[in-house]
Amino acid sequence: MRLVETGNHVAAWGARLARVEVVSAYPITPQTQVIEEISRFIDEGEMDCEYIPVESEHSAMAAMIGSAAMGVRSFSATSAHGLLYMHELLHWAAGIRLPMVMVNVNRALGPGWNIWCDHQDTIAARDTGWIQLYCASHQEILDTTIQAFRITEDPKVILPVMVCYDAIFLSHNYMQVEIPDQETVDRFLPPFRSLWKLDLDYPLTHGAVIYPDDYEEVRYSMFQGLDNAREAIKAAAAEYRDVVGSFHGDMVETYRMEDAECALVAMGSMASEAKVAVDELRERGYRCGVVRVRSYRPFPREELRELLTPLRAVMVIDRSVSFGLEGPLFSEVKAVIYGHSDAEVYDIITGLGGRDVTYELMVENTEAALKGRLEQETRWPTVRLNEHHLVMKKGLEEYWKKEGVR
Amino acid sequence: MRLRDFPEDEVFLQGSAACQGCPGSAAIRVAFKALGRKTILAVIASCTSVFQSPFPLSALDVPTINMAFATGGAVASGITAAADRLVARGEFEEKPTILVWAGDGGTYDIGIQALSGAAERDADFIYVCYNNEAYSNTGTQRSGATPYAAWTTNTTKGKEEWRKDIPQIMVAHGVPYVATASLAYPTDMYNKFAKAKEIKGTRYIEIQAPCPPGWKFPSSHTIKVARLAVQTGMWMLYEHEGGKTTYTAGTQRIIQGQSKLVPVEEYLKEQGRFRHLFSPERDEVKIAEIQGRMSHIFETLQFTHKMKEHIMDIELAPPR
Amino acid sequence: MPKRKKKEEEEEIGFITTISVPREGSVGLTGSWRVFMPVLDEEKCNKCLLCWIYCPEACITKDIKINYDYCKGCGICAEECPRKAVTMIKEEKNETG
Repeated sequence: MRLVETGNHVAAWGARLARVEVVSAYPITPQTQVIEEISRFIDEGEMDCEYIPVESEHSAMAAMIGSAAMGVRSFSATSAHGLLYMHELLHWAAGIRLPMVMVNVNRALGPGWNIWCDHQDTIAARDTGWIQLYCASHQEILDTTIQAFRITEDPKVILPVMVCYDAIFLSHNYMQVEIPDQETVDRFLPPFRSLWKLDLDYPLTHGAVIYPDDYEEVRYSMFQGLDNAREAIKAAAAEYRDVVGSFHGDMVETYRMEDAECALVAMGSMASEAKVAVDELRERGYRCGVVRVRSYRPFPREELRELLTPLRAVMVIDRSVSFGLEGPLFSEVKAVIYGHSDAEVYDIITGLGGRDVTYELMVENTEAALKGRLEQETRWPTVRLNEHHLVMKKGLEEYWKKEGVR
Repeated sequence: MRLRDFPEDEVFLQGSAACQGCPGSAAIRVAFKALGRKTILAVIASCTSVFQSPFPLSALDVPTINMAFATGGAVASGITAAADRLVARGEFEEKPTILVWAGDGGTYDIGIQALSGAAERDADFIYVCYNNEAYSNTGTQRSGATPYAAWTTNTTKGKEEWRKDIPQIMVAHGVPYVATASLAYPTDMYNKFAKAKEIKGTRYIEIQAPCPPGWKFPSSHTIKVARLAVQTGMWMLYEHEGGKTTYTAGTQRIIQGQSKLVPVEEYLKEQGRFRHLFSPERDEVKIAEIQGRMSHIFETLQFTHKMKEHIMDIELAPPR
Repeated sequence: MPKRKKKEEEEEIGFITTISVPREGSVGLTGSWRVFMPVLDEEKCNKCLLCWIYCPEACITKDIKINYDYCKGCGICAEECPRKAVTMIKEEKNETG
């Protein structure tokens, strides 16, 4: 069935087709349409699902952990401050080793209420043990949400999956999507399975006190689970293509990398824009390609190493920042090719708070890098003071004068 | 219900990490006598998280999930929704009891939001707060349940505020069943759990749990202190159902005139956490304040009770 | 550019998480915590069952047999017995025991 829909509504379709049975979620812009659509599906009898309108995101994650522990397919959705509010329990959800899928609409963080797109929210959760998959189109949101259940329920993985997509550009814009029918999805996705649950016939206790002598192995098991997820992600993408038909890459998606001397590396909808930049760069004689990081955790170590090692230069585009260091994707790209490659790696941080990332910006910066005119360090090329900033500055300066500060 | 009719089956397995005289393990034993094994248990960060013993052995013989401090009402909401799905699909013939076991910390303070949200949704589970009137697991810091004048590690001169009343807050939420219970009145506690088990929706039971190391009394006095709490009025036993409050057991006997209200001093003297009210000098002002409150509450209830009886007499007597 | 060492074979430890199995004596033979032990005078006992229901460790059976492997000697049974049928006696312990 072909629809023209928003990314949020399409994520709801993913949960519906995956036959999710419990949804616990709290509204936050720009995620609200996900849960509104799920509520509509339930109320109209199109989804056999319990929806718990919890009173906070921390409770949304707690409720999801509870329902997953009962052996039932569970789903949630959030964004930005909601993700941050449940941060404590993101670690718990991974550590409890139960399958769970949550959609996160990538939105900027306050203060300064900003409902537009950047990746700071999910990047800040990169160490929680969740698998993170980043989408660049509405079709990918639908497909990845369904694949996510397959990945999270893989017995060698059993770690929760976050399906990430950009605020507004993907959550609210309309695109054409192909919605597969239920029977097709049922052929791809078997019924829920996990490795333990709260079972009246076999009582077990989860989560008691654990001493230093026993704890590291629990964490190492999670670490190996994330490593095993690489195969699960690749298998899910390949099988989805065979059964349902669409494919968006697995750990990464590449564009014109076959003969490339330089790559643009980015995540989310910016990576689609990067394809336009690459076409323009090639017009100008530079053999460039795009490597879109789809799986951020587990990080595509082998894929990036293979693709980037022979190159002359890499331009990383970060839509978040690790304060006190540099762009996070920049650090991690360098880390995986360290010791393998002589490629020059460059970085721009841009697009924060929904600022538009244009292909012209990408072309300009990549060309400058290739011409040897840039340092191999994080740069913020779109930062500039405007009238609003000047109003604010003036206001504070008046205050400082009044208070005798400075 | 009499003690001899209590089932022998133990869900709590001896040889646990509980302190000598622990009220928490004593309470969980009685609760499970009434609820039985068809129960899913969520233990919220508290002493119970520890006394169930460390990985890989457990003193709890029911399916148990330990959860983070602020999550009581929320994790139960998820478990109960999933259980509904399993019933709808035919995997459960009968829905099991969902039980949250939390301390006063996880209920009065950090857990109040999740509990309130769940209660407003009338989520179907039993929430137990076993109340030792402090954050005992972390070494006896004050909580919203710590009574006026009690010593804790961060109210070393005695708490200056009176405590919150979560059972009354739950009554205000309009949930189908709210009750208070005491270790010293086990048949009363059993009856309340047995009743709660048969009701659907959010049910709240709060058990006062006198803690020997935290309240500073000998481990053999746990039940004695619990009894004195009821006899002096410092802990009231009641249940609230269908818009009506009924006082029970020891509290009922005081209100109906069968027992006299014991002076509050008898209760306070037993506990090291109130020692500063007696030594080096008696703090007559504070003792009088506490006694005043107890006396006022019970005089009012005794008066109301007498009025009801009196009115009943008038109605029943034929007109002359 | 430094050459990378070959990755050592990692031990696949499988699924390890904080799951505990229910067991009596989960923290060991807690009877060793005792200083005083409860002794029952069966002649005085009328099987009121108060000690059974009050025991925080569930180590008194319904027919009033005390399990000394686990009894921690808290003294509640002795304190609460209406017939004073239980007495707390200081235990003789080996220095090494």
